[in-house]
Amino acid sequence: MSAETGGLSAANVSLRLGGRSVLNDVSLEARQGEVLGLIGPNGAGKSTFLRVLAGLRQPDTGDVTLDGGRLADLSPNRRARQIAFMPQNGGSPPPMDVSDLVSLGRLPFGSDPANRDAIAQAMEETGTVSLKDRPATALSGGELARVLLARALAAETPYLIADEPIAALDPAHALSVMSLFCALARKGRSITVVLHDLTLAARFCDRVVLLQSGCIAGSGTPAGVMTDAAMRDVYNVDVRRVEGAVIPWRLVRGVDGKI
Amino acid sequence: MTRHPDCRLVAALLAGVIALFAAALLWGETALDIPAALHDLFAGRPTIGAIILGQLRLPRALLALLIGGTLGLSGAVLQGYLRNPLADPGLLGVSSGAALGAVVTFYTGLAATSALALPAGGLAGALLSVAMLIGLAGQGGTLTLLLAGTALTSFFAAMTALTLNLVPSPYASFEIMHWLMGSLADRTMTHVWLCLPGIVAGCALMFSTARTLDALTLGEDVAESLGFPPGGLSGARTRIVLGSALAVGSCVAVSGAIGFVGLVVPHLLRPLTGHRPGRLLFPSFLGGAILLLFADALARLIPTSSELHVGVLTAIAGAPLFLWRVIRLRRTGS
Repeated sequence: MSAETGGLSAANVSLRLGGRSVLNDVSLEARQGEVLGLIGPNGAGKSTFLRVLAGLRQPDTGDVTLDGGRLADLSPNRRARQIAFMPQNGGSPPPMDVSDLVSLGRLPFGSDPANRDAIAQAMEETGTVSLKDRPATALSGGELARVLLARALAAETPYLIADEPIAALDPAHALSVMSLFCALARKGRSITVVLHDLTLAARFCDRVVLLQSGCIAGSGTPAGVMTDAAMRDVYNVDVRRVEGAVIPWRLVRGVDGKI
Repeated sequence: MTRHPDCRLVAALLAGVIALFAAALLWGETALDIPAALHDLFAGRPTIGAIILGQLRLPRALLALLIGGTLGLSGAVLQGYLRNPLADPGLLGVSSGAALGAVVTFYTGLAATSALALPAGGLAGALLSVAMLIGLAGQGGTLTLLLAGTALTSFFAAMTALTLNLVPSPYASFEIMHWLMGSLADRTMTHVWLCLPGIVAGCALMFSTARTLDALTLGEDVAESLGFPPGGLSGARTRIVLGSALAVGSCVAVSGAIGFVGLVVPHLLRPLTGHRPGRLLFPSFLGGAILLLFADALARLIPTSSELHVGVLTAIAGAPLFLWRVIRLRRTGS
């Protein structure tokens, strides 16, 4: 994979944190028109890699490029208009109204007349219109996750990078968000998501990248990457398959020897 | 994304500032023929009326407006940046540094040599503490900034106590105690000119962070992804530290320490601005000006044996306001 390709590409990215190697020679490309799933066990380096890919952290070696140019050379505002980033949902939200919170996604655009429509559409797509006058502090975990997603979508960037966006959602909302990602990708956007739900990853992602201990353990179509052997090796679980979907079924051995 | 309620709030606060500013000029111990005094003032005739209006009431009202506004604004900026509603301009150690600088001029007797020595000493103390704060906090995060501010506050407070302890004459220690209480009495236009550059530059830096503060409500990663990196030389952190330190240091240098304005004003106005920290800045400037103009009017007009210090009044008013917030919090749980 070369740094010269289009799309959002990471080439040979390595990073050490606190003396520990967190990412080791990771390369991947997020293409427009597809949903790319980043999977791997806890501590594999997925969230750190997403931050590097979003331009929020510089790798020790390697480079991230956007449409052939170095991402680090873009001004913060240009980058914000290209890439929307949704971190893992943590901590309590600010006590502002939902519509105000979603409108934060339009901050890079100043007082653009398109702001109002973009905010309305993002709230429509995420099913959050009925919440618009509620304070964000009064939302359930799932509602808040959808509002934060609406915030990221409101920027209407060609690239969306989301860290576990469906972790707090019930099955119906998780399915609807993954369908929304597919629909956005079909319209030409590039969606990169960290997922722990292997079933949904296998069903909805066009490609998956499997990370293990900061290294790429597999990359390609879900069927090609999420093999029984890979799941057993990386996740330490046996899986069952139902119509192509992967269902984690049984531990192979105790996690960290404790169970 | 400005909304009409914001315009109404700003208009109401502006009306309050104008009314209180006018009242500060019109009312005082001496009854004045205001039109005649104004006429003399603009004509440059040194009549009693013109002197009272131009050299006593005007600088005092201007200082109340500027200092109250600065304290309200820097409280709003620091609370937004640190995402901590208890943040206060005194937190960075700059107020204590300015106070120490002023106290040293009392100790050394410099304060008696020139009316300017005291505020100049305060300003020097403020600038020194800004340099120390930036040197200590550097490019660290909010925790580093808080720790550095706390360390500086403790250090300067200890040095002030030491100076008080060693001060040779009881008269000087009495003067220091009075100055530390914070007051706008007997200030001249020279004081206004002395603190104005720091206040204007500092407030401009703080106002420039409004959109970054909005972006920061969802954390530093999101702010950076929205194109507002909080760190770095041009980042919000540098502008906030430098801006609030310059502006607040300049204020303390001429007025002494005036507490609670920076803490209370953003608290009271936050629910009226949709909890958007960027939208809170200008209303907080106006609210701070209103609070200090009002407190100074009380300090001048309440008949006591010696004039009340405005810093004492704001502290007296601030505590019940917080108690009221605690009671509301317990009642509503929000």
